[in-house]
Amino acid sequence: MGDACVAPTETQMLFKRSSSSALTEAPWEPTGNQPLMSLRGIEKSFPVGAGQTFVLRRIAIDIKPGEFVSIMGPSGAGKSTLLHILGMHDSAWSGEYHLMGHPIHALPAKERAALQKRHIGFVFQSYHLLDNLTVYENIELPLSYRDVRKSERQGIVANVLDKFGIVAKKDLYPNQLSGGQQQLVGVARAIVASPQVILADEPTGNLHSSQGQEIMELFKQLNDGGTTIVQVTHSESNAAYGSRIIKLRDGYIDQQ
Amino acid sequence: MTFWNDVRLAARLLLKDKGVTLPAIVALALGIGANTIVFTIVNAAFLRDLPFQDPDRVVVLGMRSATSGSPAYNLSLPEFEDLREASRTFDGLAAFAERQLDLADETAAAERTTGAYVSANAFELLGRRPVLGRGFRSDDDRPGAEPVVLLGHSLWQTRYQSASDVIGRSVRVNGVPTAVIGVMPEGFAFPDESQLWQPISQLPAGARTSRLPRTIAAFGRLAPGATIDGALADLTIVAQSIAVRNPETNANVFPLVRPFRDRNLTRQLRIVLSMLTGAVAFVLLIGCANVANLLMARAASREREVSLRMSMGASRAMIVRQLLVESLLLAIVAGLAGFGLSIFGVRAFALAVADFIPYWLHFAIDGRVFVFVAAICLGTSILFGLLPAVYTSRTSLVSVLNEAGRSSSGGIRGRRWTSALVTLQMAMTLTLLTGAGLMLRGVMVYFQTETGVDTANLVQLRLSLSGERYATRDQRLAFYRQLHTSLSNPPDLRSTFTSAGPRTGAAVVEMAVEGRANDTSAESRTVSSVLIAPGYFGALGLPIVRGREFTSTDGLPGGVVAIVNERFAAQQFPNEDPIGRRIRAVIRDSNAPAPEWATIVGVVRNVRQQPTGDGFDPVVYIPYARNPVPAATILVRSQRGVASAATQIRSQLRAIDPDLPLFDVMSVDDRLAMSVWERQVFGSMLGAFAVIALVLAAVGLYGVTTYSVSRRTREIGIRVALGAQARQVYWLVSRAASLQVVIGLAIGLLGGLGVATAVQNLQSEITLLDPVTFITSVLMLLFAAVVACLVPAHRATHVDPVAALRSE
Repeated sequence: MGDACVAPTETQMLFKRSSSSALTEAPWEPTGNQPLMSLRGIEKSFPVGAGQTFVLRRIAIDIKPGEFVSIMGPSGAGKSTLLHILGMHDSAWSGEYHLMGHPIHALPAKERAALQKRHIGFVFQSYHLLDNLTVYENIELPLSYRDVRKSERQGIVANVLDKFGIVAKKDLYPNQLSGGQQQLVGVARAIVASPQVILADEPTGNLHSSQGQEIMELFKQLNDGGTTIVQVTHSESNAAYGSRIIKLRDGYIDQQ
Repeated sequence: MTFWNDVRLAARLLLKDKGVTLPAIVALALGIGANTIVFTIVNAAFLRDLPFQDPDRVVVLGMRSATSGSPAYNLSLPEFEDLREASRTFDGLAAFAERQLDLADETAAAERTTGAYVSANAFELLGRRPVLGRGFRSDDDRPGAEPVVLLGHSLWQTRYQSASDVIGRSVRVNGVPTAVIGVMPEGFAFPDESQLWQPISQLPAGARTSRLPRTIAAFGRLAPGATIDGALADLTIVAQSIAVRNPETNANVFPLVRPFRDRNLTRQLRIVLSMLTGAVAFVLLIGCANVANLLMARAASREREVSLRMSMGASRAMIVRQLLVESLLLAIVAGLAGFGLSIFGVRAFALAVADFIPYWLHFAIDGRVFVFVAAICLGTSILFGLLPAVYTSRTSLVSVLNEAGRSSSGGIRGRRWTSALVTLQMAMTLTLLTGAGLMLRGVMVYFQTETGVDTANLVQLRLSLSGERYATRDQRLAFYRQLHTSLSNPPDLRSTFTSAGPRTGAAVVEMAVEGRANDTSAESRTVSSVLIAPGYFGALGLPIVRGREFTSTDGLPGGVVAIVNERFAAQQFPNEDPIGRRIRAVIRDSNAPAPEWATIVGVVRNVRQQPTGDGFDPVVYIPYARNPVPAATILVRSQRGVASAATQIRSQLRAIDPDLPLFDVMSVDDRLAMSVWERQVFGSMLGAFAVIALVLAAVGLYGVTTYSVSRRTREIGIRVALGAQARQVYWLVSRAASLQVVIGLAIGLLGGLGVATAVQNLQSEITLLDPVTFITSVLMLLFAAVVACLVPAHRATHVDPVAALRSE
């Protein structure tokens, strides 16, 4: 990953979730064996003609805190759709979804959005950095949406830039970075608000193998620091970084 | 590719891309239509030939005192004779004086019509001859000549049913038997709206011989090769010799020579027309900015097409030409639509001003207007088409193929232009709103100003006593006594008469109080002086606060009395009882006898006499018997309308003098409205243009914001995915627009100040920085801007992040 890579000497503690930031409320503590995310009977379909085409059917998954889960399956299996449901970008589905004990299926959009902001970070295959914002501003963005004061934002972003070794790039625009560097910024942006869960949609899909490997190492370190990670991937080797694989086929869970 | 190929392609694209074509045509058509209307007015006022032979050589003359600021095209008949005698640069000079003349005969009821006294050579100088009978001859101009009259064509048609035997008939003009000698051609109403002409020899004796006041006008035809400057130099020499002979009246008096049309085109009218021209130019610019923005938006989607053309060998010039042909085609279609709109607009304007303009002002759509429309189509097509054309032609193949490069560099460049155009639109719109607002608010304040008397159902009818029958004071006094008795008779009619109806002006005099030194400023002692009939206040329903009304014996020798209004009483007798105190007008001329002291016998409620000004003016009422001037306004309280009141009063008047016509018959409310007609008509036009500009600017902002949202769908999706809430998306979308609006407001307010200075010349009701107008204008613009932004911003909050990110 060239100059964007994380120095191997950095400890896992660097990526341990912050609990003292103004961003975070007291970390969620599961009671008993309570899962972090729990899906029951999740279904999603599109009307086609007089009938329905199902994208997801009877999905039942539990994801525990600190897990590193990889969702795999052929194209069209419903992987990304499932990820967007977990991330609450998609609200047009049926079934039950509990996040940290909150019944997402029963919550109004505003409360879902609040939970999403508080607990979930995203990493996209196409990075989805904003072209007209610098590296610094891209990373700062989630904090500004969480009403973190500017002075506090500066400290947090500086810390993240430092952790990811991209201080020198902070004033560059995305189109001045390589793909690997852009994805590194994408991951930095995902963790800057200290989410408990990172959802990654084929995070290495647009990277060559060594860049992909370094991003996966980064995820591993984040996971070791306590962050729950759910990734969609086609790559067996990337899936191997995780603790569990969920396989989808034609909208059904094939294996978990 | 040939030019015609470009035209064919342009037509195909415009038909295909209706989403751009239709709004563009509407925006441009409104702008071109508004400009065509105003150009037609300007053309009629300044450019069209006057209906005279060799109109460019016809000039108007005047004599101006060095202390007088504004040009006055007046002189006295002796001055005119001197100028005519001694000038060397004219083919001829003629005098004229437009007056209200009373026409009576056995054909129909007496009527008052506008007529003019003219030199015998006047119509010859203008190159116009009668269509029936003969014109004036030089012997008609001699003092003591037999009175003769020429009829206007429309008067001949309406009063005499176009009878050819009217020639030679005897009619009474101002009560004097006069022979009809001819009928002038149709449409001729020189100088403004006359329908009767008499030789200048028929002017009343005072006006014929006195050098002051200057009450007639004159025009001349420049000799071949002579110029206005040359004529002025010539007349200046003559004026100097007049001043030597008549130092008491002509010292420091200088001649004026101007093109004839300047006589009617006052400074106020020029200001208003300049404002209208500026306003429609703004409307057109705003329209052009809208279309430019639309085309800029479309340019982004045509970059691939353009880059492919260029890769196949098209030069930049060819690309620009093709895009400009599209713009030209768009402008031509919009020009046709705008021209159609302007026909209705010009008709409506002509109807609105028909009663107030000189006869030579025709708002015709002539060849010059057609050329203007063609030029404006060409000009606007370049104005709105060039920028997008150049922008599009700069597209590079590499940047189009490199998606990232295109979106980050080309997009920013395009956005800068569109932002600048939106800012410009906002600034121009606010300037327009402020100008229109100030004019209309002035009119509104005028109407809201309390008159002090209930003007509902109040009708006015004016009369003027002229001719030998009313030459003396006693003759006029006898008439007014009869009139008072006659108006008092019908029990169902509450009527009275005065020298000046409420709020129509009055003589302004300086008033002195007996036993008091004139140590206060003359201004504080200036009052409106109004002559009234006995029982005036009772007839109008105005209460007497103290004292009494005038009786029929007041005003006669030994009964010099006055009634004052509360404002005068408060001003001059703040802690005293004004009843019994004596006042009189101050006469500055030391040779003139001082008027008698008048005893105040009553105090009445305030009634505004002067049309404008702060608060009620101090008014002193004098009995008509004291000064029976040869003019009066009859006021009638009538529930049955103007026509019924006029019929009743006419029948009363016929018993006194069957030849005496009534004129200016209308409700007092209509009379008040008439005095601000220019501001109403032009202010409404300005208001209409401002509203068009506001709508165009709002649509422009809406279009730019919508386009921006469509370009930023992916970005908005990412932001929503990262936690942006609705308010943050609203702000994201509105932020750029807010900056443009704020900058536009700042520039527009400066423009508004400039316009306010011009409007200040036209009205006195409101101050230069009228806060109501400025705040209302800003709020209107902000409201339009908020609506224009909120709609696309609201849509942006509904961007589905999943769909937005997938589309990537």
